[in-house]
Amino acid sequence: MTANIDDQPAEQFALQVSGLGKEYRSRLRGNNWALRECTFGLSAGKVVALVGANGAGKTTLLSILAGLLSPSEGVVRLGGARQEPNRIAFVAQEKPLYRHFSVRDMLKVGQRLNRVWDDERAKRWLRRFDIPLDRPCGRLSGGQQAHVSFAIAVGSRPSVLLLDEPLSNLDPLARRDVTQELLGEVADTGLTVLLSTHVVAELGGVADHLLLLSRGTLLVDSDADDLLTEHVYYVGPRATEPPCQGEIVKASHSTSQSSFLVRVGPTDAPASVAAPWTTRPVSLEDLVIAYLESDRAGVAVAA
Amino acid sequence: MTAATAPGASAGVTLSAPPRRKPKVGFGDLVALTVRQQRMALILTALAYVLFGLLVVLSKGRVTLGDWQFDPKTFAPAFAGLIAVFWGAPLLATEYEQRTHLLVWSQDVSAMRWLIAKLALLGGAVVVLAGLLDLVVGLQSADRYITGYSQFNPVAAFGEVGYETWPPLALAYAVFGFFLGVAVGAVCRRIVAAMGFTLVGFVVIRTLINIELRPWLLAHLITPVRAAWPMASWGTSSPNAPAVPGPNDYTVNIQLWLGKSGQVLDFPTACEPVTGDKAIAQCMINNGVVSEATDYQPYARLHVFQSVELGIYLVLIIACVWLAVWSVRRLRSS
Repeated sequence: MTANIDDQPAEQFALQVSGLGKEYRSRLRGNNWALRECTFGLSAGKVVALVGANGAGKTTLLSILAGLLSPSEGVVRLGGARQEPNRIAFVAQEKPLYRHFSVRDMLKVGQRLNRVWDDERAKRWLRRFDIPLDRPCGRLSGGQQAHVSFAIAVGSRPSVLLLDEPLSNLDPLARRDVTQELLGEVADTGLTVLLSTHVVAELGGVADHLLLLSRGTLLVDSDADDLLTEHVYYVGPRATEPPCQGEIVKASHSTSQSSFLVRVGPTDAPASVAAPWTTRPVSLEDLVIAYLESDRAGVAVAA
Repeated sequence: MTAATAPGASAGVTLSAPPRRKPKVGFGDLVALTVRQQRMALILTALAYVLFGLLVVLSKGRVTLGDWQFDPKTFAPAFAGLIAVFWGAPLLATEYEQRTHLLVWSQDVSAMRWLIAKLALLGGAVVVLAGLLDLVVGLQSADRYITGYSQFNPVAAFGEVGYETWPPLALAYAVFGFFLGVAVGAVCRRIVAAMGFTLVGFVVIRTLINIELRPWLLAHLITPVRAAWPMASWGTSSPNAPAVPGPNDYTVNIQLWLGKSGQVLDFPTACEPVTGDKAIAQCMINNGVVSEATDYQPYARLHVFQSVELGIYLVLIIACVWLAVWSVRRLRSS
């Protein structure tokens, strides 16, 4: 089928990316790599979160995967052991719709422009969120428009669903419902979801895997569970070094106290630490923010 | 770590239709989408064309509104501008401004196929609508309604209306307008700006070709025919003098003074104070002027010049199509 990466059969990956890069050439502002040497694989049936600061290259990466942008280097391969052809659906950040089209007309657009179309699945999403089918899309609220976009994406029965900031227009309740519904689709159909987000707090319990981009390079590519077990947060008396081996992701010091977020290897036993040091559990949000902060501060952090 | 519950899926067994499948997104699908998108524009424009066509036919070349009389044919070129501004300019600019190109291009259809289908369908509609109107206008021969016309009358063969209502040329203006609008919209990506730039661009290009390029071509592309009369008969209206240039010919130089060997001379300064036709003629003969002449392009060459202009517009059309295609390609690689 396709080449293997990390000795794993390609069928395990719904999407494989190797050496992907994008250079924007501009005579005025010079050339600029928005994305460099990105290599990763997305396992089928997973929800993958793509995080990073503004301008880190998230939208560039998603646009390349969606086929909207051609990469300067590298390859994207679709895989998976599905019966159906492997296809990618993409929902852009702006959730664009034809404003004078009714919701029903927009579904018709989805049907016409896709080789596979599951009208029932699209309508089920709209019913779930009470979106009127006859209203012009321009007269829907931002959240409702987002749902129409999701319905079209889901209705095209993709193997990989790419969502650029899917939660940005939604209220907190709708965010929870959308993530639940997406998880339902994943469970039902083996769909793989790659979503970029700023709403880091809502990644817990949703994302199986985390990709962290910083200035165009992939800083973290790890399972969420592994990330949580591999990182420990130490709090103790003021010190320059953490009480154990590992890579310091983030260190902060007050007059009497120091705290370290440390990436310990999976083999180390992080809990065994002598008093007066204590450990605190790490959430996905803490991790993402720590990585983003440390990267902004310029601390060398290797993925 | 997937969720244990799947709320949407638990709806159970309903009369769910199986997913539809097709080998590829057909041309018909893209045509249907384009028609749905442009429905109002198509209907309104077709209506405007039909009403205007009826006006041209029924008015027999003359409409009277109070003191104002006009030939509706003179407004036919405006329809090409209408197509440029309301069909061409918004075609890609609307998609870019509302970001819907991201929606369409990320479905199972390539951007290029989508663009080609749109351009083919709407370009075809322009050809049909403008072509029919141009035939109606072109079939109204100039001399049928307008009496007392001269070569400076716009409906004379080389006059602005007479020249431009040749159906192939009139059609080329409309098709050029459409693709100019598409190209401008593809580059500037804002609806209102694209419409404005298209209007300005269309008017400027048409005007420059009309008032600069066309007269230059008429004077230089083919050597004009020179009709000469001996100075001796000057001032006496001779019924035997040939009626050239006729009202349907194009005058390049209305009055030239020729010497013995046919060379063009300036009006002799010595004759400037002379008054009286015969005295002037005699003075000129004394100063070496042998004959008076007129340079003109005969009516028979009309279609040659029109075809050359048609060729220029075809080149412009190809350039605009290329620009639109290039900009869509570039958007995907930059």
